[in-house]
Amino acid sequence: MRNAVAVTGMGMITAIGDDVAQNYHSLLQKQHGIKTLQHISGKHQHQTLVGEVAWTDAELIEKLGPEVPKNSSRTSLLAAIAAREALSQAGITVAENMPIILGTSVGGMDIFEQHFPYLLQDSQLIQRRDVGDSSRVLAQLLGSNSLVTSISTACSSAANAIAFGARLILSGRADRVLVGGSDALSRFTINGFDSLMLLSNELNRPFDANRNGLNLGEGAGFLVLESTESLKKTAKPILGYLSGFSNANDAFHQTSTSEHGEGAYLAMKQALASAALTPRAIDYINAHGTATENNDRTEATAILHLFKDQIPPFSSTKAYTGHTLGASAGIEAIYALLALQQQLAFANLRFENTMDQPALKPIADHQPTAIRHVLSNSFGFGGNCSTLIFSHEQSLY
Amino acid sequence: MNKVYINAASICVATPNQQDATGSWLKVDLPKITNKLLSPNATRRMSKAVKMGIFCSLEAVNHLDAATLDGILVGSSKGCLIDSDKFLQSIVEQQEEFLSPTPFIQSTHNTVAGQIALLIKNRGYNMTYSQGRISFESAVLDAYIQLKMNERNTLLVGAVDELSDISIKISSALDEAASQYKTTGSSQSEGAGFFVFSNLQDQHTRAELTDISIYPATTKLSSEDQVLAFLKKNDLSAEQIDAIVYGSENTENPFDTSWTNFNKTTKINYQLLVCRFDTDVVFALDLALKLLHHQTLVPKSSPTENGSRSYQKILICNFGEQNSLMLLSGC
Repeated sequence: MRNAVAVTGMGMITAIGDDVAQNYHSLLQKQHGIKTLQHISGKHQHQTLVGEVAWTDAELIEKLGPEVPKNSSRTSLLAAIAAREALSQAGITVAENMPIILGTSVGGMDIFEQHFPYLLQDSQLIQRRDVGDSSRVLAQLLGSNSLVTSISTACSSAANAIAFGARLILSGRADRVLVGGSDALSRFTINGFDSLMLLSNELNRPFDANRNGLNLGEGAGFLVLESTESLKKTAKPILGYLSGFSNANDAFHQTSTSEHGEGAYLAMKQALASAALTPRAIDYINAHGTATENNDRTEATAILHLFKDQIPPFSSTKAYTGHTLGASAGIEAIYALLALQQQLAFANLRFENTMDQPALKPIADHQPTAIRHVLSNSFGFGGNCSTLIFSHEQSLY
Repeated sequence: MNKVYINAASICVATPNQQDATGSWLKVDLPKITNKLLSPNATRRMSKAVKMGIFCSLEAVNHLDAATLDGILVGSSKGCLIDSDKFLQSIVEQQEEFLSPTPFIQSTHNTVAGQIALLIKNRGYNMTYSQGRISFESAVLDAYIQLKMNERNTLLVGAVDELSDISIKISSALDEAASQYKTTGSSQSEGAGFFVFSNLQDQHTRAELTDISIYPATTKLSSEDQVLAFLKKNDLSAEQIDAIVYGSENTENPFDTSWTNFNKTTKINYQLLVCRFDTDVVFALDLALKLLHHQTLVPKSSPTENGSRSYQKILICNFGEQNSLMLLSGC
């Protein structure tokens, strides 16, 4: 039997919960976390709808302990909370001999922008902006002694971090890795998406004919991946397998996707090929589903193109969390694994009216169903399209 | 397992002879990009990072049938600094009102890799790494594993970091660049380098990338032991390395007298030959490729050249918070 990539730990924090159990509970209760912005001052405070983690930076630091470096980015704080939960579930006390791959788009912009352009002549504050600084702080908090790196491919960052971690395992360069994504809300991204007129002033409605944009969110989702070879030596509960992954580029436009979702189609198709699965094997799709006009139409077109007349149940959980950008694929990887564990496809909240062209319908309610393989999509600026496939613990044996 | 070859290279950097006596900062003077894929209008709208990336990419893939390129990997420590600064400034100055989305759109770290893909219509793998001084090596490691494991055959791998006037102004207040200029004689700069990596050897093959390793500087073993362990893993001893091309985040020389195993090895501090930027290790890789090809160094850059043996195995070392080692073999 070939070496495979097992998931042995999951950890997360989002607008709908501080850990995996709370997130699952909120999903079950169909409880979303979209409210008006609280923590960032300025034009959008108390106005713009976001999926914000309830805790302030100071409260997050209190949870993490006194070793948190001064002026750490919120991105690194959220990451550390999720990462510690994932390590704990995998029974790992110190992240030794374990590469850490962080996917993030915002990085330390959240702390940098609070002081810009008056950086108080503080070189550390200037350094905090770097994407690589958030992973550096994370690694420090976890006591890492191995490779630490970051991937920044906008909204698909975490998916690519998970895939690179798997590659380190499959090539024999690591027995286990800590991989995922984290992104804090920031004035930068809120104003950015606002300037693009992509923010909805209502609760977002993925795949609905009347959708009118996204709500931004924040959070982190991390996985511990381990090689099945090394798990033979130290057996521990396996939560599922990462059985396929792929990345392709739409090569169409910096921010919008091509009419037929060519990049999305290629990513899904190649991920299936890497898992040696046919489209028919997929039992649930956790879609990217940002609730923008462009994404949902083109993603649905690509799904239709690939799955033809056998469309599996699909939904977007961004209706619960908002779009958490670089963290979304880490968070949604965990929802995919929960779907596998609980044999439950999650409801696409607030779906009412079917889109036309293509007339695909997400599942409007929770759907208990036999799930062996889940496909999770993440697409980002720069034409970046990534797909992960998670498979049930028994599916490989 | 496949071997990994480097089949093309193109860099754009600033060199110390372009510095003026007072310059703590030096921008790259980029030649005009003339290519049938690009209209003059298109280049005018591009940020420096994108321009440098496109310039080097087009040169590097010049000999390549575009259809054979399986993807693009880019490392960038700071990402698209100019557009990011521009958007931040507009948020402050315009108090979050009537913002132009253009700088936001172009501010994401993966803009360079995305724009290259868009230009040469590449729908393959598209990845962007950002981890300070090992951003490029992170991309190289990913490419190396994929080519080794035959996941893909030919990949464009590069790095780019740009300067922005706003960031220069902010950082100038700290005097760090000025004090570094005083101690090293080297300006803070910008640059790019792109390379074609492939598991297929062709008539343009410049070298084999035998192995790569990235590890934190805090590991218990001393750096010399780490380097020796890396060589041992590749069935090599210190004496078999013909040259070491190295750079360091710190100003002290990593090859101090206690590094006894490498006493006799030719050592080239590449940072004396190039103006510094976070991903300046692309210059070291290009230098090592030239050394393998020409078997000699340009005269002025040979502080400790022993001159007596040919160059077959070259080790590139980038020391910092995390260290990287890249082993090249002549083909």
